[in-house]
Amino acid sequence: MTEPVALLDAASKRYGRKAIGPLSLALRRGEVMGLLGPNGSGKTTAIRMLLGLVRASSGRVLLNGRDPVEEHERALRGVGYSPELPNIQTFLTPNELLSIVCSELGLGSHESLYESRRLLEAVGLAEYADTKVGKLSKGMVQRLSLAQAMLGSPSILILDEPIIGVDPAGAVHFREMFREFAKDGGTILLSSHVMSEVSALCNSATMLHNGRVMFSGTLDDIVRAKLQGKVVVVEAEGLGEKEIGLIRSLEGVQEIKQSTGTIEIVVAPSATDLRPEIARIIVNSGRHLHSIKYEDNILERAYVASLAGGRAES
Amino acid sequence: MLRLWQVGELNPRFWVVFARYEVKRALARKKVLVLVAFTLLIDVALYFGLARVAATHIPSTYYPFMWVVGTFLPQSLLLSFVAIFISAGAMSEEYEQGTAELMLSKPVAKSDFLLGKFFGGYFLVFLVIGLNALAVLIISSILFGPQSSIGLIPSVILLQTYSVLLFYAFGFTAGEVIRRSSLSYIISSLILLSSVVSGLYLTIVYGITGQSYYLHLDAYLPTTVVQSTPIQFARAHLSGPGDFMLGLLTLGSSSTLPKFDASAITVLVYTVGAFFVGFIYFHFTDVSKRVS
Repeated sequence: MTEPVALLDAASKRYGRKAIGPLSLALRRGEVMGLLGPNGSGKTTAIRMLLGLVRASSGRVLLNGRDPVEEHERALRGVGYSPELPNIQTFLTPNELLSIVCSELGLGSHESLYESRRLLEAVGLAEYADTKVGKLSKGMVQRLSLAQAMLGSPSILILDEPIIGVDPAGAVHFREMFREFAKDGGTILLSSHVMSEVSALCNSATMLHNGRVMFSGTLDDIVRAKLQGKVVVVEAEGLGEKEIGLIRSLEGVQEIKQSTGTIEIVVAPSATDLRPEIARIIVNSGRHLHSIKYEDNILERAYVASLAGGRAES
Repeated sequence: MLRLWQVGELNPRFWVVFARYEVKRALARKKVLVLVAFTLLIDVALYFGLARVAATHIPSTYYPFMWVVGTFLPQSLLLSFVAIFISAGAMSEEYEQGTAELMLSKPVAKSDFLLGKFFGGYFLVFLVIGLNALAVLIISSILFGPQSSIGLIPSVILLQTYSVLLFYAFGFTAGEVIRRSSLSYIISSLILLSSVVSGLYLTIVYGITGQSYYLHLDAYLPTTVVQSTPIQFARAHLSGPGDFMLGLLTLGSSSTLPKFDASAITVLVYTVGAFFVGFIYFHFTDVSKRVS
């Protein structure tokens, strides 16, 4: 297994009486990890420890294999960061901010101009390039924050609630940008309390609660470990006992819950994709099938299941 | 690049980046501009006041040295206040507004950020002092005719800039350690005012007791050394009416001011001590999230 590019090894942070951690997290190259948890669960502190903005009270923190506090400049090379509710100096224009960040990244003036223009266009701020940040809307500031994070073609993106305040069209656009980034081999640590966002983008997740890791792993691992199984949601008209019986007899089906026009089929995590077989049964019996899909709030259920179990990993 | 223990790789190229940023940031704050405008307004008011009484109360032999009045009068207090107002917000406002986080999440040594901001603000102080001297020279020339010994002005500007470095460093460190701009201005200004009051008190006690011990104590007060460094230099180069005017501006205490070398060294000691505290504090503490 490759060395993690970002590592929290039993890292904790004390704020007076309150403590976050010990937290353990390993983000490997090419991974898109969701960092989940409610407000105050320690997501931002974990990110700030990784970025060397706060010193861990105990444990080990590495970014690009280096201590981000002691070797700040080396550890943060190739890392783009967009903070939660970014605070950007209101007197600067997007162009000026990106120019400063380009200087911090050591980009030449020509490259700096090109990169700034490219990213402002990518985030839809080209026409506001010379407008003071103070006059931009919250969503626009969030877009600017994402643009600065992506300057200099980083290989790791650390995004703290990146879609907050962005309009729905922008959110879709950014998800696509992140997918492209990941497809090109980029690594992403995405902090969010919106679980559907994480399940749509990430291939792994770490869930925090009260400053502790509730669980961590690939989305399939989480489902396997925390849920009885995956849930297939079927919308169909006039399903009878016969069709339900046929579906129940499929290998891997554990439970079926029925309500008007909808059935939820709990399938063992290890089972193969049963959706084509279920669809065939419904269509062959002459019933009208409206939709068949996996439940999309799977992480929320896993989270609730973890809370009910009351277990935390370190 | 310079490698220092526990400080990281210092890269002066970043100092320029952050210094330019700091100048822009400080100028965007209205209170700094207001204070600068106030300083210049005092110059104008002072000279118009002098011009009104000149014909009857000021001998014409003093006219060529009128620049001395405006150059040295605002120095000990107003220019030190300007320095405090520029420096006390340099770091504290970054924390209050939460902007330090974004700047420090890039691959630059934290120390480069701090040093760049320190130098940027200090450059602004230099500009204000230069602007004050230029305004004084222009107004005094218009109202009192050609000025003498103006070759001294560049050196005086440099020495004034050097001496207010002391309060600049106090303000900067207060801002870093306290991380609240208003409280930093208040505490730094209180140090300045306490030093002025202590100086007066010590001078009075010396006048009553005649014990030189009190004068020695006064010689180490921040405001005393800030005032005496450029004044002692000017006294060594001015004579006759110019020297007399300097004596008036120091309320007759110019003979008891510490010598130039002693003042300059004391300024340096205070400055290095204050900056060192701020630098170490910054390096070993977390970058705060938005605090207001």
